[in-house]
Amino acid sequence: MSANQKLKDLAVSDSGFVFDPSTGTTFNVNVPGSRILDLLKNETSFQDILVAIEGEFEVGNADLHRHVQEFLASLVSFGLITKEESDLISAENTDQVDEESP
Amino acid sequence: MTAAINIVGVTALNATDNPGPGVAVARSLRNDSAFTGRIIGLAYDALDPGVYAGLFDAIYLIPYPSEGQEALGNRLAYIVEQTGMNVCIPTLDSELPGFIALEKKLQELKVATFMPTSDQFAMRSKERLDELGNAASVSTPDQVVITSADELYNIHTRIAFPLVVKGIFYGAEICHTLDQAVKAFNNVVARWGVPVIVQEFLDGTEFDVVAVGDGEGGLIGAVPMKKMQLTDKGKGWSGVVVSSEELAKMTTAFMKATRWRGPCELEIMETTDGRYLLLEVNPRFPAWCYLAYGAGLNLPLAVVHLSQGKEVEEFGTPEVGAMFVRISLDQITHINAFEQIVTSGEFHPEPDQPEEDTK
Repeated sequence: MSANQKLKDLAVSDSGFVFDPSTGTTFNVNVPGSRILDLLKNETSFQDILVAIEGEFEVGNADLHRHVQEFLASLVSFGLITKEESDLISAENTDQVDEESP
Repeated sequence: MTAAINIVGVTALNATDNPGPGVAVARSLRNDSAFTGRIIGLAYDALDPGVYAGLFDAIYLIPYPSEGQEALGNRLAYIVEQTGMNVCIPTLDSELPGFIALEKKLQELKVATFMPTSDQFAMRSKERLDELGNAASVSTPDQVVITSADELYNIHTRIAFPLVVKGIFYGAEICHTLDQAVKAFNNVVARWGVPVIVQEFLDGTEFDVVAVGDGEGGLIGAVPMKKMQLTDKGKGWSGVVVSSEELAKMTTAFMKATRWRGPCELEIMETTDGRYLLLEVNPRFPAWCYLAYGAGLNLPLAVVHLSQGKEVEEFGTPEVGAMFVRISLDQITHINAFEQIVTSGEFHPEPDQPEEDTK
Protein backbone atom coordinates (compact mmCIF):
# COMPACT_ATOMS: atom_id res chain seq x y z
CA MET A 1 0.00 0.00 0.00
CA SER A 2 1.31 3.41 -0.86
CA ALA A 3 -0.20 6.12 1.30
CA ASN A 4 -1.22 9.21 -0.58
CA GLN A 5 1.23 12.11 -0.23
CA LYS A 6 -1.65 14.39 0.78
CA LEU A 7 -2.35 12.05 3.64
CA LYS A 8 1.25 12.19 4.74
CA ASP A 9 1.23 16.01 4.65
CA LEU A 10 -1.84 16.30 6.89
CA ALA A 11 -1.36 18.22 10.12
CA VAL A 12 -3.17 16.35 12.90
CA SER A 13 -3.17 17.96 16.34
CA ASP A 14 -3.44 16.12 19.65
CA SER A 15 -7.07 17.28 19.91
CA GLY A 16 -7.91 15.55 16.63
CA PHE A 17 -8.15 18.74 14.58
CA VAL A 18 -6.98 18.00 11.04
CA PHE A 19 -5.67 20.61 8.58
CA ASP A 20 -4.92 19.76 4.97
CA PRO A 21 -2.20 22.29 4.02
CA SER A 22 -2.74 21.77 0.30
CA THR A 23 -6.43 22.70 0.26
CA GLY A 24 -7.08 24.53 3.52
CA THR A 25 -9.69 21.90 4.44
CA THR A 26 -10.19 21.31 8.15
CA PHE A 27 -12.14 18.67 10.05
CA ASN A 28 -12.13 16.84 13.37
CA VAL A 29 -11.49 13.18 14.06
CA ASN A 30 -11.94 11.23 17.28
CA VAL A 31 -9.13 9.34 18.98
CA PRO A 32 -9.49 6.13 16.93
CA GLY A 33 -9.75 8.25 13.75
CA SER A 34 -6.57 10.06 14.66
CA ARG A 35 -4.88 6.70 15.26
CA ILE A 36 -6.06 5.36 11.90
CA LEU A 37 -4.66 8.44 10.15
CA ASP A 38 -1.38 7.89 11.91
CA LEU A 39 -1.31 4.24 10.82
CA LEU A 40 -2.23 5.14 7.23
CA LYS A 41 0.55 7.73 7.14
CA ASN A 42 2.95 4.95 8.10
CA GLU A 43 1.61 2.80 5.28
CA THR A 44 0.19 0.23 7.69
CA SER A 45 -1.90 -2.44 5.99
CA PHE A 46 -5.65 -2.55 6.47
CA GLN A 47 -5.40 -5.82 8.36
CA ASP A 48 -2.82 -4.39 10.74
CA ILE A 49 -4.97 -1.28 11.23
CA LEU A 50 -7.88 -3.50 12.26
CA VAL A 51 -5.66 -5.43 14.66
CA ALA A 52 -4.19 -2.26 16.17
CA ILE A 53 -7.53 -0.51 16.63
CA GLU A 54 -9.18 -3.64 18.01
CA GLY A 55 -6.38 -4.05 20.55
CA GLU A 56 -6.11 -0.40 21.54
CA PHE A 57 -9.79 0.52 21.73
CA GLU A 58 -11.50 -2.75 22.67
CA VAL A 59 -14.03 -2.76 19.88
CA GLY A 60 -15.67 -5.81 18.36
CA ASN A 61 -14.27 -7.01 15.05
CA ALA A 62 -17.68 -7.12 13.35
CA ASP A 63 -18.31 -3.38 13.72
CA LEU A 64 -14.69 -2.39 13.40
CA HIS A 65 -14.37 -3.46 9.78
CA ARG A 66 -17.39 -1.37 8.79
CA HIS A 67 -16.27 1.66 10.84
CA VAL A 68 -12.82 1.70 9.31
CA GLN A 69 -14.30 1.41 5.82
CA GLU A 70 -16.62 4.32 6.57
CA PHE A 71 -13.65 6.31 7.81
CA LEU A 72 -11.82 5.59 4.57
CA ALA A 73 -14.91 6.78 2.67
CA SER A 74 -14.71 10.06 4.63
CA LEU A 75 -11.09 10.45 3.58
CA VAL A 76 -12.19 9.95 -0.03
CA SER A 77 -14.82 12.68 0.36
CA PHE A 78 -12.14 15.08 1.62
CA GLY A 79 -9.96 14.23 -1.37
CA LEU A 80 -7.23 12.78 0.82
CA ILE A 81 -7.25 9.39 -0.84
CA THR A 82 -8.92 8.27 -4.04
CA LYS A 83 -11.79 5.81 -4.24
CA GLU A 84 -9.38 3.40 -5.91
CA GLU A 85 -6.93 3.72 -3.02
CA SER A 86 -9.73 3.18 -0.53
CA ASP A 87 -10.85 0.05 -2.40
CA LEU A 88 -7.27 -1.16 -2.61
CA ILE A 89 -6.74 -0.70 1.12
CA SER A 90 -9.98 -2.51 1.94
CA ALA A 91 -9.21 -5.30 -0.54
CA GLU A 92 -6.15 -6.21 1.50
CA ASN A 93 -8.51 -7.34 4.22
CA THR A 94 -10.71 -9.25 1.80
CA ASP A 95 -7.63 -11.07 0.48
CA GLN A 96 -6.66 -11.87 4.04
CA VAL A 97 -10.16 -13.20 4.80
CA ASP A 98 -10.14 -15.25 1.58
CA GLU A 99 -6.79 -16.72 2.46
CA GLU A 100 -8.04 -17.68 5.88
CA SER A 101 -11.31 -19.20 4.58
CA PRO A 102 -11.37 -22.99 4.59
CA MET B 1 23.86 62.07 5.39
CA THR B 2 20.33 61.36 6.56
CA ALA B 3 18.66 58.40 4.89
CA ALA B 4 15.60 59.26 2.83
CA ILE B 5 12.39 58.49 4.63
CA ASN B 6 9.52 56.76 2.94
CA ILE B 7 6.41 58.85 2.48
CA VAL B 8 4.07 56.36 0.88
CA GLY B 9 0.75 57.19 -0.76
CA VAL B 10 -1.79 54.36 -0.70
CA THR B 11 -5.14 54.38 -2.49
CA ALA B 12 -8.45 52.55 -1.95
CA LEU B 13 -9.45 53.22 1.65
CA ASN B 14 -12.98 51.89 1.10
CA ALA B 15 -12.79 49.19 3.75
CA THR B 16 -16.41 48.12 3.36
CA ASP B 17 -17.85 44.59 3.04
CA ASN B 18 -16.30 44.69 -0.45
CA PRO B 19 -13.07 46.31 0.60
CA GLY B 20 -10.35 48.01 -1.35
CA PRO B 21 -6.81 46.90 -0.51
CA GLY B 22 -5.58 50.26 0.86
CA VAL B 23 -6.13 49.55 4.56
CA ALA B 24 -4.42 46.15 4.27
CA VAL B 25 -1.42 47.69 2.49
CA ALA B 26 -1.17 50.48 5.07
CA ARG B 27 -1.42 48.02 7.97
CA SER B 28 1.34 45.88 6.47
CA LEU B 29 3.63 48.90 6.40
CA ARG B 30 2.57 50.40 9.72
CA ASN B 31 2.94 47.18 11.69
CA ASP B 32 6.42 46.37 10.41
CA SER B 33 9.21 47.75 12.55
CA ALA B 34 11.36 47.92 9.42
CA PHE B 35 9.09 50.67 8.10
CA THR B 36 9.72 54.04 9.66
CA GLY B 37 8.14 56.42 7.19
CA ARG B 38 4.81 58.16 6.82
CA ILE B 39 1.71 56.88 5.08
CA ILE B 40 -0.58 59.14 3.11
CA GLY B 41 -4.10 57.93 2.45
CA LEU B 42 -5.46 58.72 -1.01
CA ALA B 43 -9.23 58.41 -0.69
CA TYR B 44 -12.07 58.81 -3.15
CA ASP B 45 -14.76 59.56 -0.61
CA ALA B 46 -14.90 61.36 2.73
CA LEU B 47 -16.71 58.38 4.22
CA ASP B 48 -14.19 55.76 3.12
CA PRO B 49 -13.77 53.89 6.42
CA GLY B 50 -9.98 53.74 6.09
CA VAL B 51 -9.84 57.53 6.46
CA TYR B 52 -10.71 57.11 10.14
CA ALA B 53 -8.66 53.96 10.82
CA GLY B 54 -5.78 55.75 12.52
CA LEU B 55 -3.31 54.30 10.03
CA PHE B 56 -2.54 57.40 8.00
CA ASP B 57 -0.50 60.48 8.78
CA ALA B 58 -2.63 62.49 6.38
CA ILE B 59 -5.50 61.80 4.02
CA TYR B 60 -6.23 63.52 0.74
CA LEU B 61 -9.18 63.06 -1.54
CA ILE B 62 -8.23 62.25 -5.11
CA PRO B 63 -10.48 62.48 -8.18
CA TYR B 64 -12.28 59.39 -9.46
CA PRO B 65 -10.69 57.79 -12.55
CA SER B 66 -13.61 59.06 -14.63
CA GLU B 67 -12.33 62.63 -14.14
CA GLY B 68 -9.26 61.85 -16.22
CA GLN B 69 -5.49 61.86 -15.91
CA GLU B 70 -5.04 65.61 -15.84
CA ALA B 71 -7.19 66.00 -12.73
CA LEU B 72 -5.38 63.10 -11.05
CA GLY B 73 -1.95 64.43 -12.07
CA ASN B 74 -2.68 67.89 -10.70
CA ARG B 75 -4.01 66.50 -7.45
CA LEU B 76 -0.99 64.23 -6.99
CA ALA B 77 1.34 67.16 -7.65
CA TYR B 78 -0.42 69.12 -4.90
CA ILE B 79 -0.16 66.18 -2.49
CA VAL B 80 3.56 65.79 -3.24
CA GLU B 81 4.07 69.48 -2.58
CA GLN B 82 2.21 69.24 0.72
CA THR B 83 3.57 65.96 2.04
CA GLY B 84 6.78 65.09 0.21
CA MET B 85 5.15 61.80 -0.89
CA ASN B 86 7.92 59.85 -2.61
CA VAL B 87 6.32 56.44 -3.19
CA CYS B 88 2.84 55.61 -4.40
CA ILE B 89 1.02 52.26 -4.37
CA PRO B 90 -2.20 52.38 -6.40
CA THR B 91 -4.39 49.40 -5.54
CA LEU B 92 -7.51 49.46 -7.74
CA ASP B 93 -7.94 47.97 -11.20
CA SER B 94 -9.93 50.95 -12.38
CA GLU B 95 -7.36 53.55 -11.33
CA LEU B 96 -4.26 51.73 -12.59
CA PRO B 97 -4.49 52.86 -16.24
CA GLY B 98 -4.47 56.47 -15.01
CA PHE B 99 -1.49 55.93 -12.72
CA ILE B 100 0.41 53.99 -15.41
CA ALA B 101 -0.23 56.80 -17.90
CA LEU B 102 1.08 59.28 -15.33
CA GLU B 103 4.25 57.29 -14.56
CA LYS B 104 6.50 59.83 -16.28
CA LYS B 105 4.88 62.73 -14.47
CA LEU B 106 5.22 60.86 -11.20
CA GLN B 107 8.93 60.38 -11.94
CA GLU B 108 9.24 64.13 -12.51
CA LEU B 109 7.54 64.64 -9.15
CA LYS B 110 10.07 62.18 -7.66
CA VAL B 111 7.33 59.73 -6.75
CA ALA B 112 8.53 56.15 -7.18
CA THR B 113 6.15 53.40 -8.21
CA PHE B 114 6.42 49.70 -8.99
CA MET B 115 3.47 49.04 -11.26
CA PRO B 116 2.93 46.83 -14.28
CA THR B 117 3.61 48.42 -17.65
CA SER B 118 0.66 49.28 -19.88
CA ASP B 119 1.47 46.21 -22.01
CA GLN B 120 1.47 43.94 -18.96
CA PHE B 121 -1.74 45.53 -17.73
CA ALA B 122 -3.37 44.84 -21.10
CA MET B 123 -1.95 41.31 -21.32
CA ARG B 124 -3.71 40.20 -18.13
CA SER B 125 -7.01 41.83 -19.03
CA LYS B 126 -9.92 39.46 -18.62
CA GLU B 127 -10.83 39.47 -22.29
CA ARG B 128 -7.34 38.22 -23.21
CA LEU B 129 -7.15 35.43 -20.64
CA ASP B 130 -6.76 32.68 -23.25
CA GLU B 131 -3.78 34.50 -24.84
CA LEU B 132 -2.19 34.83 -21.42
CA GLY B 133 -2.79 31.15 -20.74
CA ASN B 134 -1.05 30.21 -23.99
CA ALA B 135 1.89 32.51 -23.28
CA ALA B 136 2.38 31.12 -19.78
CA SER B 137 1.48 27.53 -20.69
CA VAL B 138 -1.26 27.42 -18.07
CA SER B 139 -4.83 26.25 -18.59
CA THR B 140 -7.68 28.76 -18.64
CA PRO B 141 -11.45 28.28 -18.86
CA ASP B 142 -13.26 28.66 -22.17
CA GLN B 143 -14.66 32.15 -22.57
CA VAL B 144 -16.33 34.48 -25.05
CA VAL B 145 -16.09 38.27 -25.04
CA ILE B 146 -19.34 40.01 -25.95
CA THR B 147 -20.50 43.59 -26.32
CA SER B 148 -24.24 43.09 -26.79
CA ALA B 149 -26.94 41.17 -24.93
CA ASP B 150 -28.10 39.80 -28.30
CA GLU B 151 -25.01 37.63 -28.38
CA LEU B 152 -26.31 35.77 -25.34
CA TYR B 153 -29.20 34.23 -27.28
CA ASN B 154 -26.94 31.69 -28.95
CA ILE B 155 -24.18 31.68 -26.36
CA HIS B 156 -25.09 28.11 -25.40
CA THR B 157 -23.59 26.93 -28.71
CA ARG B 158 -20.19 28.12 -27.47
CA ILE B 159 -20.40 28.00 -23.66
CA ALA B 160 -22.81 25.62 -21.96
CA PHE B 161 -25.05 26.70 -19.09
CA PRO B 162 -24.40 27.24 -16.24
CA LEU B 163 -21.92 29.96 -17.19
CA VAL B 164 -20.34 32.98 -15.54
CA VAL B 165 -20.94 36.58 -16.65
CA LYS B 166 -18.04 38.81 -15.65
CA GLY B 167 -17.37 42.53 -15.77
CA ILE B 168 -14.20 43.87 -17.33
CA PHE B 169 -13.00 45.16 -13.94
CA TYR B 170 -15.09 43.53 -11.22
CA GLY B 171 -18.01 41.25 -10.59
CA ALA B 172 -18.94 37.72 -11.60
CA GLU B 173 -22.35 36.11 -11.61
CA ILE B 174 -23.17 32.44 -12.12
CA CYS B 175 -26.12 32.11 -14.52
CA HIS B 176 -28.17 28.98 -15.08
CA THR B 177 -30.60 30.40 -17.63
CA LEU B 178 -30.66 32.86 -20.49
CA ASP B 179 -32.83 35.25 -18.45
CA GLN B 180 -30.28 35.27 -15.65
CA ALA B 181 -27.47 35.84 -18.14
CA VAL B 182 -29.24 38.83 -19.75
CA LYS B 183 -29.92 40.34 -16.33
CA ALA B 184 -26.29 39.80 -15.28
CA PHE B 185 -25.09 41.33 -18.56
CA ASN B 186 -27.20 44.45 -17.98
CA ASN B 187 -25.98 44.73 -14.37
CA VAL B 188 -22.37 44.51 -15.43
CA VAL B 189 -22.74 46.96 -18.32
CA ALA B 190 -24.54 49.50 -16.11
CA ARG B 191 -21.62 49.43 -13.69
CA TRP B 192 -18.53 48.80 -15.77
CA GLY B 193 -19.54 49.11 -19.42
CA VAL B 194 -18.59 46.73 -22.21
CA PRO B 195 -17.06 44.33 -23.09
CA VAL B 196 -18.48 41.60 -20.92
CA ILE B 197 -16.87 38.20 -20.48
CA VAL B 198 -18.91 35.01 -20.58
CA GLN B 199 -16.89 32.21 -19.06
CA GLU B 200 -17.28 28.49 -18.63
CA PHE B 201 -18.48 27.60 -15.11
CA LEU B 202 -16.07 25.33 -13.29
CA ASP B 203 -16.93 23.25 -10.28
CA GLY B 204 -14.14 22.91 -7.80
CA THR B 205 -12.09 24.73 -5.19
CA GLU B 206 -10.86 28.27 -5.77
CA PHE B 207 -7.51 29.46 -4.54
CA ASP B 208 -6.05 32.95 -4.62
CA VAL B 209 -2.40 33.86 -4.72
CA VAL B 210 -1.00 37.28 -3.85
CA ALA B 211 2.38 37.74 -5.49
CA VAL B 212 4.95 40.34 -6.44
CA GLY B 213 7.01 40.12 -9.61
CA ASP B 214 10.40 41.75 -10.03
CA GLY B 215 9.68 43.04 -13.54
CA GLU B 216 12.31 40.79 -15.08
CA GLY B 217 10.46 37.50 -14.99
CA GLY B 218 11.31 36.62 -11.41
CA LEU B 219 9.08 36.15 -8.40
CA ILE B 220 9.78 38.16 -5.24
CA GLY B 221 7.26 36.29 -3.14
CA ALA B 222 3.87 34.60 -3.22
CA VAL B 223 1.25 33.59 -0.67
CA PRO B 224 -1.49 31.14 -1.73
CA MET B 225 -4.76 31.27 0.18
CA LYS B 226 -7.96 29.27 0.36
CA LYS B 227 -11.06 31.26 1.27
CA MET B 228 -12.87 29.70 4.24
CA GLN B 229 -15.88 31.98 4.35
CA LEU B 230 -17.53 34.19 1.74
CA THR B 231 -19.79 37.23 1.87
CA ASP B 232 -22.96 37.33 -0.20
CA LYS B 233 -20.86 39.12 -2.83
CA GLY B 234 -18.47 36.19 -2.92
CA LYS B 235 -15.68 38.10 -1.20
CA GLY B 236 -13.43 36.24 1.19
CA TRP B 237 -14.24 36.97 4.84
CA SER B 238 -11.73 34.49 6.19
CA GLY B 239 -8.99 32.44 4.64
CA VAL B 240 -5.97 30.30 5.33
CA VAL B 241 -2.52 30.06 3.79
CA VAL B 242 -2.05 26.76 1.98
CA SER B 243 0.87 25.01 0.37
CA SER B 244 0.58 23.79 -3.19
CA GLU B 245 3.25 22.98 -5.72
CA GLU B 246 0.76 23.45 -8.54
CA LEU B 247 -0.16 26.99 -7.43
CA ALA B 248 3.52 27.85 -7.04
CA LYS B 249 4.28 26.53 -10.52
CA MET B 250 1.48 28.53 -12.11
CA THR B 251 2.53 31.72 -10.32
CA THR B 252 6.13 31.29 -11.42
CA ALA B 253 5.02 30.59 -15.00
CA PHE B 254 2.87 33.73 -15.00
CA MET B 255 5.77 35.87 -13.77
CA LYS B 256 8.14 34.43 -16.33
CA ALA B 257 5.73 34.84 -19.25
CA THR B 258 4.68 38.40 -18.45
CA ARG B 259 7.82 39.68 -16.67
CA TRP B 260 5.27 41.10 -14.26
CA ARG B 261 6.30 44.24 -12.41
CA GLY B 262 4.68 44.77 -9.04
CA PRO B 263 1.87 43.17 -7.09
CA CYS B 264 -0.91 41.00 -8.46
CA GLU B 265 -3.48 38.42 -7.43
CA LEU B 266 -3.99 35.19 -9.34
CA GLU B 267 -7.34 33.43 -9.06
CA ILE B 268 -6.95 29.72 -9.71
CA MET B 269 -9.52 26.93 -9.74
CA GLU B 270 -8.76 23.32 -8.91
CA THR B 271 -11.57 21.43 -10.58
CA THR B 272 -13.17 18.37 -9.06
CA ASP B 273 -11.27 16.27 -11.61
CA GLY B 274 -7.94 17.70 -10.43
CA ARG B 275 -7.19 20.26 -13.16
CA TYR B 276 -5.81 23.71 -12.27
CA LEU B 277 -7.08 26.64 -14.35
CA LEU B 278 -6.18 30.32 -14.16
CA LEU B 279 -9.46 32.23 -13.83
CA GLU B 280 -8.12 35.76 -13.79
CA VAL B 281 -5.25 38.00 -12.80
CA ASN B 282 -5.89 41.16 -10.81
CA PRO B 283 -3.10 43.68 -11.42
CA ARG B 284 -2.75 44.89 -7.84
CA PHE B 285 -2.73 43.79 -4.23
CA PRO B 286 -5.91 42.04 -3.08
CA ALA B 287 -7.83 43.31 -0.05
CA TRP B 288 -6.63 40.28 1.94
CA CYS B 289 -2.92 41.04 1.41
CA TYR B 290 -2.42 41.68 5.14
CA LEU B 291 -2.43 37.89 5.39
CA ALA B 292 0.86 37.90 3.49
CA TYR B 293 2.34 40.05 6.25
CA GLY B 294 0.83 37.67 8.80
CA ALA B 295 2.43 34.72 7.03
CA GLY B 296 5.87 36.34 7.14
CA LEU B 297 6.02 37.95 3.69
CA ASN B 298 5.56 41.70 3.87
CA LEU B 299 4.89 42.10 0.16
CA PRO B 300 3.68 45.74 0.42
CA LEU B 301 6.96 46.72 2.10
CA ALA B 302 8.84 44.85 -0.63
CA VAL B 303 6.98 46.96 -3.20
CA VAL B 304 8.03 50.14 -1.39
CA HIS B 305 11.66 49.00 -1.59
CA LEU B 306 11.38 47.87 -5.20
CA SER B 307 9.82 51.23 -6.09
CA GLN B 308 12.96 52.92 -4.79
CA GLY B 309 15.20 50.66 -6.85
CA LYS B 310 16.45 48.75 -3.83
CA GLU B 311 17.45 45.15 -4.21
CA VAL B 312 14.90 42.85 -2.63
CA GLU B 313 15.74 39.22 -2.03
CA GLU B 314 13.23 36.57 -2.96
CA PHE B 315 11.09 35.58 0.01
CA GLY B 316 10.94 32.03 1.30
CA THR B 317 7.73 30.09 1.77
CA PRO B 318 4.91 31.61 3.82
CA GLU B 319 3.71 30.15 7.09
CA VAL B 320 1.16 27.54 6.07
CA GLY B 321 -1.90 27.68 8.33
CA ALA B 322 -1.69 31.44 8.94
CA MET B 323 -5.30 32.65 8.81
CA PHE B 324 -7.24 35.86 8.50
CA VAL B 325 -10.73 36.49 9.81
CA ARG B 326 -12.17 39.84 8.77
CA ILE B 327 -14.19 41.99 11.17
CA SER B 328 -16.83 44.69 10.96
CA LEU B 329 -16.59 47.29 13.68
CA ASP B 330 -17.77 50.79 14.32
CA GLN B 331 -15.04 53.40 14.36
CA ILE B 332 -15.66 56.43 16.50
CA THR B 333 -14.56 59.71 15.02
CA HIS B 334 -15.87 63.25 15.28
CA ILE B 335 -17.87 65.39 12.93
CA ASN B 336 -14.90 67.80 12.87
CA ALA B 337 -12.80 65.16 11.13
CA PHE B 338 -15.52 64.60 8.56
CA GLU B 339 -15.89 68.36 8.15
CA GLN B 340 -12.17 68.74 7.45
CA ILE B 341 -12.12 66.27 4.64
CA VAL B 342 -15.44 67.35 3.15
CA THR B 343 -14.61 71.03 3.12
CA SER B 344 -10.91 70.98 2.32
CA GLY B 345 -10.44 67.59 0.67
CA GLU B 346 -7.78 66.66 3.20
CA PHE B 347 -7.56 65.47 6.78
CA HIS B 348 -4.59 65.62 9.12
CA PRO B 349 -5.21 63.37 12.13
CA GLU B 350 -2.03 64.56 13.81
CA PRO B 351 -0.10 67.82 13.49
CA ASP B 352 2.27 67.76 10.53
CA GLN B 353 5.79 66.76 11.45
CA PRO B 354 8.64 68.98 10.27
CA GLU B 355 9.75 67.89 6.81
CA GLU B 356 12.78 65.60 6.99
CA ASP B 357 15.49 65.24 4.43
CA THR B 358 13.96 63.25 1.60
CA LYS B 359 16.99 63.25 -0.70
